[in-house]
Amino acid sequence: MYQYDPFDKQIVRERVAQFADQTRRFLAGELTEEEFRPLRLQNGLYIQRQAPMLRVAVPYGVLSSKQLRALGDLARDFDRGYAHFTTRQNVQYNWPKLEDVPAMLQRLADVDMHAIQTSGNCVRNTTSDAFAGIAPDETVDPRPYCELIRQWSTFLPEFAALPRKFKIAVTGASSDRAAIMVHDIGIHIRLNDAGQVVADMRVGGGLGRTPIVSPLIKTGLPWQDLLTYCEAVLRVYNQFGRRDNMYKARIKILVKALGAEAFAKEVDAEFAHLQGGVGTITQSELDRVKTHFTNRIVAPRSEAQPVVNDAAYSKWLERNVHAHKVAGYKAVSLSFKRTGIAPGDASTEVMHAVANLADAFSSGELVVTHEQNMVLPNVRASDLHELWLQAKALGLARANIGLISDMIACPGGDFCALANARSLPIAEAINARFEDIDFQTDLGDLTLNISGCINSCGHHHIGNIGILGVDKNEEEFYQVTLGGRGGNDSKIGTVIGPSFAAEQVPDVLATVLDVYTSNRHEDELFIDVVDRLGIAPFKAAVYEQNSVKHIMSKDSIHD
Amino acid sequence: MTDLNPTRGLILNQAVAQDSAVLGVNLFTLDTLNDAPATGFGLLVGGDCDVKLIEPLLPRLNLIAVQFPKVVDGRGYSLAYLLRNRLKYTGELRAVGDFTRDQLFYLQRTGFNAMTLRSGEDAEDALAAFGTFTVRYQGSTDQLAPLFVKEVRHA
Repeated sequence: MYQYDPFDKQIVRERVAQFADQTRRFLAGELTEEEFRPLRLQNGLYIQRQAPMLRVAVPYGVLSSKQLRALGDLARDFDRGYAHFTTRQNVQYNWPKLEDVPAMLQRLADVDMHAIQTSGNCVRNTTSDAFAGIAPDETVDPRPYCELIRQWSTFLPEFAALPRKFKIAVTGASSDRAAIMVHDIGIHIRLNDAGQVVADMRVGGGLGRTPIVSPLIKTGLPWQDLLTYCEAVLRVYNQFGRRDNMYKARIKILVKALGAEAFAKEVDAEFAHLQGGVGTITQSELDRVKTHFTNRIVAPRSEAQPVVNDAAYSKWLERNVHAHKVAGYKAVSLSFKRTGIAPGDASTEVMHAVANLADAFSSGELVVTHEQNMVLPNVRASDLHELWLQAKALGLARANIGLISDMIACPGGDFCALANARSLPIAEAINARFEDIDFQTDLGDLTLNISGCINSCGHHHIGNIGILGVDKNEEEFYQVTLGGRGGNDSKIGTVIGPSFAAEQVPDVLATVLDVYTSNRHEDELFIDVVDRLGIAPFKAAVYEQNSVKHIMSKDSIHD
Repeated sequence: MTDLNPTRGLILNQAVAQDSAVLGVNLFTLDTLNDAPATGFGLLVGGDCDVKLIEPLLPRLNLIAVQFPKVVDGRGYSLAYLLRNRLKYTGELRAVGDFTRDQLFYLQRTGFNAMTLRSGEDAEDALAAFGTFTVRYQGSTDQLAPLFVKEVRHA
């Protein structure tokens, strides 16, 4: 991972001092709530239902074991002994005290971490492929470019008060695992025919009320121009993005209103002033950032993977162990989708234990995934069985990666002030209903995403099955979408019809899955059956079998 | 109100932000330009003003004041950047409106060299806010070169 130099350490220390002063002034009544609000938001601090919520940045998901231990310590010392890992690879504390936040930031700074720009209308934490640097289908390691973007976007003065939040995702692999098409800027870094590193730039994707898969507005951008091109995009957005209506303020609305081609022209006209200028990334800077990444090179190993005759171990190998670029190594997903525990939640003890696993098995490094699990990126194949035994003892070896119970869910109405409905009880009910791992394995690859409101933090639009909590006369209902997907052929799912009461959701899912299993051809994935048949047979079965008494009229929430 | 010009080290306390006696010039808007003299006056614009409208006026202006209607409306930052870097405006560029000392660092970086602070801000504390960060990763008007092109980073 990237090692901070004295400049990186200095700016984080200065931030702690600044935010401590701002907090002090707020608590002393020198700043009104209205004045403090944008300041605390740009430091990831929300005022939530129960207490403040502090979101800490995990740049492109990469953590050292030391950092994870510190995150665990914070949960114990300032929260209720657990934290929540998010779909944007960050970590959230749900119960800190406002007056403790400066001390928490100091502890984070001590391990080269911060909460800078984890919320607010600014450039947020850059996300990437959880398998960055190790995936066999990767042509360019995106992490040095992510780090360049992180530094460039930190306290970016001109764009400190954008119309709305701004999220950048980067992948360097042929298969997109970073959902780049539903980000404000989605960057695919690749090699061109001449073997040079270039970027394809997508702008204006997003979920929320107006889900949009982003258009490609620039192909083959030389890597040196990455930051100046992003600057041009932001300058156009900062001037012309809508500020009259927060639901129309994301860049996707501007791109849609102008049309992708006209928007690209605006950006190119601005970029012409910057191209080749002083903001152009130099080779020596790229080299510096690359050399500040430790554990980048793993020497190939020849030891054999142990052969163990154990069905549970075999299933785990199949679902939770992934290929690695370097011979003799594997990447291992630790499943944070456990019955009785909210997706992405981790206790202090678990964080400490996972840090120990990272030290013992993965060169002290781990990655938070978009799916709210953790990956140990550099595991020797010869260590797999021993790792499995230890992970199993911790309850982190459920062989469900990519299966229905590996669902993504936002914290929902239990914690979030924005939510219309709770997500976690729905996740738990689904977990309980489809607990049998053989049943799940038979269903195969299937993404299930749950959001507690249309802000779509659970990315329900791009789940093969999406569940959205809606509020009707202060009652919680759930709308179901089918056919969504992330990745290279990202697509927004289709709403199947009127929403359901919470207790109906597991039955509705069971019916959907019945339609799938009774119609699939051999080895045909759920999403492929939805594509082949359309939603009609699913819809017919669901509304025929589920009582209409709780069913509400069709929600008109997609504007 | 506190009047702050970090480059001149000037601090004034005045009741009216747009007082011509304080600013040393009379302020006009694009709507009242007909009343303005040939040269030597100030122009007050919103952050959403198109720089192309300001460009032909530059030889006549001693001062440009940019209004921030709300602290969360950052269009004035881009306007400042464009005035300084695209139009090469070198005169006084003053921020007025809704901001606290917490925004001074950003205002200075993008090219403002004068700020009219709201009343109640302590001038000394406000001046100290310019020094909140000693590290600037990226270029802007105050320092065009990003940190990464400086030798010190590669030492």
